[in-house]
Amino acid sequence: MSRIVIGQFMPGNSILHRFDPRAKLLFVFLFFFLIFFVNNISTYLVIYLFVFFCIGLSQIRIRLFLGSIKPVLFIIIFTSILHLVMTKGGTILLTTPFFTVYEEGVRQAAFISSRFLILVVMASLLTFTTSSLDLTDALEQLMGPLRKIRVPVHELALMMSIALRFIPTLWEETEKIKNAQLARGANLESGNIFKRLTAYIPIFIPLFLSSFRRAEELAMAMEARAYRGGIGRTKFRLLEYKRKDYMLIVIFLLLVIGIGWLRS
Amino acid sequence: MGTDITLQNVWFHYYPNTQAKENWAVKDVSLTFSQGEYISIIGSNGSGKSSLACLLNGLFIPSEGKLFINGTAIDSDQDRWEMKRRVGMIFQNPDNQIVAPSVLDDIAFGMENLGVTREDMQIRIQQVLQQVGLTGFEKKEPHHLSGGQKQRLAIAGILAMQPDVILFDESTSMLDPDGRNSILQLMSELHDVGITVIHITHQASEAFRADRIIVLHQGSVMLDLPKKSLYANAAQLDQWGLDVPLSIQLHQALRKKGWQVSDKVESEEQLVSELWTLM
Repeated sequence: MSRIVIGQFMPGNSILHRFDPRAKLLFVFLFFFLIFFVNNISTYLVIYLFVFFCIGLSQIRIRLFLGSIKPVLFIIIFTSILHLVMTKGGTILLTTPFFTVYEEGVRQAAFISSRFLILVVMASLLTFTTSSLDLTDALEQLMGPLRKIRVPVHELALMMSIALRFIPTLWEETEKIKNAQLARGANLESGNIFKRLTAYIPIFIPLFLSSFRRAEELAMAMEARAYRGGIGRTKFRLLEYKRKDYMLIVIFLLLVIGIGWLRS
Repeated sequence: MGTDITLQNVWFHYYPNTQAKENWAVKDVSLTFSQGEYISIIGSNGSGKSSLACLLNGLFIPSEGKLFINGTAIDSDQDRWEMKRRVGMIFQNPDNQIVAPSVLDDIAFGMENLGVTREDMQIRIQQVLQQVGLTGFEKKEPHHLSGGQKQRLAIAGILAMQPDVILFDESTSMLDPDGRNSILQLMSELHDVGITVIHITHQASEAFRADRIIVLHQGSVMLDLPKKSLYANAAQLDQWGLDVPLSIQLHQALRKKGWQVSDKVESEEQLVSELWTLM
């Protein structure tokens, strides 16, 4: 479990941790749009500076961000190569019998991979500094208006929160079943990929069955605690915008103005 | 105030039309549970004790017969919803009744459903954490708690709803001895503060902690006695698939062998003092 880095919360008390999750979520969302207006070296410099500034503020080790980049590294390299080879324009930098590399291609490759990197790092910043429970709350509140068009916002948020609560429980159970099957002579380690996948069937079937039983019992327990959907429900968790959350708007506007001014 | 629950000729089956009436889970049960009682309901597997629990909490609706709270018949969904505030229920599996990813949020869940204000929640949460002995665990995640602690968390979540009655549906059966004892202890404490405790179990030794004992067998009530008269009747327990506590077996065996043990023994302590006089 420790190998999964994307989406993992790193408890801490930095200023980024203390922003309201809704403010952070909105900021990152809008930031993703802003990235697409960045189109020359000076604007990319501004964005890179900003991202590094945020990483510094978060007090989270760089190594962890590298960990979250790893899974998308292949996509970044692949698209970079495509851009290097396919884009034409500007002076020729390198000629081989198979392809020609133009100045424009290098530029495009650098920009596109920068864009990818920044997207991944910002998304990781959000999940590293926000607990999944806070994120769920933020989503529920931000999507609140969708209730008018009959989107079951409360139910979706509750589903997410129950899923989060049961991930460790199901994980433990998977380990238990795995050990039980190993003790019965199951072979999970050898053979080709197809063989290994089929070897996992005796683990997943009991896991599914017990999950269904859990779900049924949980539904009973919830009903016994007077749950009847969102009607007349109060909320214990309270999100409050503070002055620093409004600062995010100012920061975002400054970024917009800066990029609008510098972009070509 | 308080909650008295009365069942009047209640019959129940999940699919009443598919089964002959003699196979129903609950058959013609009439019982009254008064505020402040400590009651055990014992029965072997399939005796209908869990169905009875769900009837008492409003989760199930009687197929036939009526259920009253303080003399008022429970008919509508709204009635049954209000009943769930009055009658809390603790289930068998500690894992499958915790909804939220942290102790605080889970205690709040029931209160949120009832529409309790946030200020009240804060106060009640501190109270119940202290009551069940989980103060300092506020931020913990459920999977970091032991079985007994999880069960106490479930009790805290129910207590925060301020019920008059708490039903324990085999709530100790999946716990280790320490967890089990702590929950049994908590039950006595809850009874002491005036809450009706209804403990459903198949272990006669646990049932003997209660003041009143009801024996269920194949959906019908076999015995409904105060604890002190049960001692004389306990020998019958094994005919309904229940184990007889050791002290009672000893009592019966001694009498059978012709020892001069009084048949008026009502508790283990009395049996011990009887035996002393024989020595």
